[in-house]
Amino acid sequence: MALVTRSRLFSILGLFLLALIFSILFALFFGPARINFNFFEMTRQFIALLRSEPLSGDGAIVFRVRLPRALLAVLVGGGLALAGASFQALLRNPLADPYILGVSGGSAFAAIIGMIFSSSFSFGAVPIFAFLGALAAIFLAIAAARTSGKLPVITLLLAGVVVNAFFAALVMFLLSVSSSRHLPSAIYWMMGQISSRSYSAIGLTALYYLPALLVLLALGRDFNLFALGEEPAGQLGVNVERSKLLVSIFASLLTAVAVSVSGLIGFVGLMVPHIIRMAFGPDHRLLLPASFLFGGIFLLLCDLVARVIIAPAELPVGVITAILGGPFFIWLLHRSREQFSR
Amino acid sequence: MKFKTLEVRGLSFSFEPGKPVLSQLTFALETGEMLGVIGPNGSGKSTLIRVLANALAPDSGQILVKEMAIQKFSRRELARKIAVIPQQSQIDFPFRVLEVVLMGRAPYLKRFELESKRDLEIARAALASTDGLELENRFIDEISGGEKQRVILARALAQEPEILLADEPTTYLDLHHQTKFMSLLSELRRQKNISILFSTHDLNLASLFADRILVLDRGQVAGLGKPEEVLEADIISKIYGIRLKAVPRILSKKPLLVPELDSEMTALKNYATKSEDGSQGQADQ
Repeated sequence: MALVTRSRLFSILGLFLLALIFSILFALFFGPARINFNFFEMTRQFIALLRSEPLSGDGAIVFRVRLPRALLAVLVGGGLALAGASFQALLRNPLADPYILGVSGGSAFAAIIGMIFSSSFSFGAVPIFAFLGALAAIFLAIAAARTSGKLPVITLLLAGVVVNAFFAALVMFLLSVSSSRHLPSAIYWMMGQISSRSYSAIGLTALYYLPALLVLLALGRDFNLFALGEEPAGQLGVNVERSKLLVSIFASLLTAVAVSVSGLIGFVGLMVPHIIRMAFGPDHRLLLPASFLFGGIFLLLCDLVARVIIAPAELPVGVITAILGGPFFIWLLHRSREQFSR
Repeated sequence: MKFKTLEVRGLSFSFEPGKPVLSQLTFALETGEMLGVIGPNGSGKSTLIRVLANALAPDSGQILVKEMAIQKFSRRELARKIAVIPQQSQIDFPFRVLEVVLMGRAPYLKRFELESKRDLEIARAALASTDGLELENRFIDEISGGEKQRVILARALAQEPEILLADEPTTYLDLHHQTKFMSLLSELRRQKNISILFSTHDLNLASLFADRILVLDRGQVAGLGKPEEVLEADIISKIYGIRLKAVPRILSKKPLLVPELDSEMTALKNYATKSEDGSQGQADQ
């Protein structure tokens, strides 16, 4: 049996990190535009980028368009996967996902309000708005689903559907009444799309991520004990209420930031932790960091497909993840039907 | 004189004000003792265990763990003293048996610390002592209810506790596993000198395995003592609201209580009347 030991943790995460780096390199040199790959030329252009000097030709495509987009895909995918794994642990429910629970929808609604107020489609304060929307959505879903102190899977899924529908309606309302000139891009953004952002926006995203990553990864063993139930976890020394609050806040933060930069990308938080769990077991001390890394790889590859499949046009990556995620969800639901009637 | 591992003084608890679930309980769990808690539905057995496990805060009264107030322990310190076995465990992710037992080591580990070789040895030893070592690689949700309860006991033992609280641990087990589980508890408490408090609906299981029995009736102590002292048919009959008959076991003299049904009584009376008609006796007894 494979228990989580230091050597196993480091070797698996090391492999994922390696795979992630290769995926990013692959994404740099793969796309509709043909790139003349010349190692010395690329190195020179990379150094120019670091010195904020102007780039030329292929270098500009690789380092101004593809690299920021790849980094953003990695951050968004990793964040959504880690948020999904955390929500699953918190709710003791393998079907939880920020998108399914309505957290993404709440973020999107609040983010659009933020965009209208900040009167530009820029980054700025949008994640803060999105974060408040995410918190409202998760507490709404949990409050709606709670029946006599418990959170049955089936009512939680239903509550998520309703919260989603509610926020989707609010979003439609805003888009209908607002005359902002940014709205056409907002509609495309809603479909879930990774775009090339500035490096400062990526840096800001990473900065928002940092506290969430630190806190959630520190809760790995608590998450394992949660699987026994809340009271047993408390009797093993976990401060259950504090952990629950921390997870709700920081998993919502990850979701909100991801939604702010890329709109509604669904099912990553459902599929990625599940695949990791099937491959390496449910121990969250490995599951959480592995989900983050694999989530990054997964969304990067999905985005690659979105970029080239109907080139020169592009597909929103949310379309790809939903096409993969829908059947995956149904398969999961079908596989564990009897478990959900309790 | 015996040492008191857990002492309860004037303990009261209510979920809603004015409706006490436990009122003024005073008793002690002695070192290495097995104390059975019995009482009808709603008498407060499960609540008592949750209060003792510090999952619910009492309204008034004191709980002393090794002569120190329970509030003075941190969660983790308390988890090294007291382990709890629930009626039934639902584990939602596909953990393996050994992983579940290792969770019992959590109160000894720092935040980012992984289990050491020693933790693994302790977990394996705990699993071996509950006769479950051959299960270690199985998925927790694929083993039987009896096996699962033994694994949960092993997890509790991995905590190396001095006190074990078990809330109706045999409710979902069949007769064979009930007896086996209780024998296991009894043996462990002798080997490791653990003090065990268990609640049960099965009066006879309590009679067989408990050193002393605490009878709860509507949140109050209605009796406390050795099985043969406490399990008086009249007292217990009144508490449970049915007629019970005590049948002492031949060797140990520990009482077994069996319900007497009205239909049975009528049949018995009829039978007595008939046979006495023949011998001109009196049917009244």
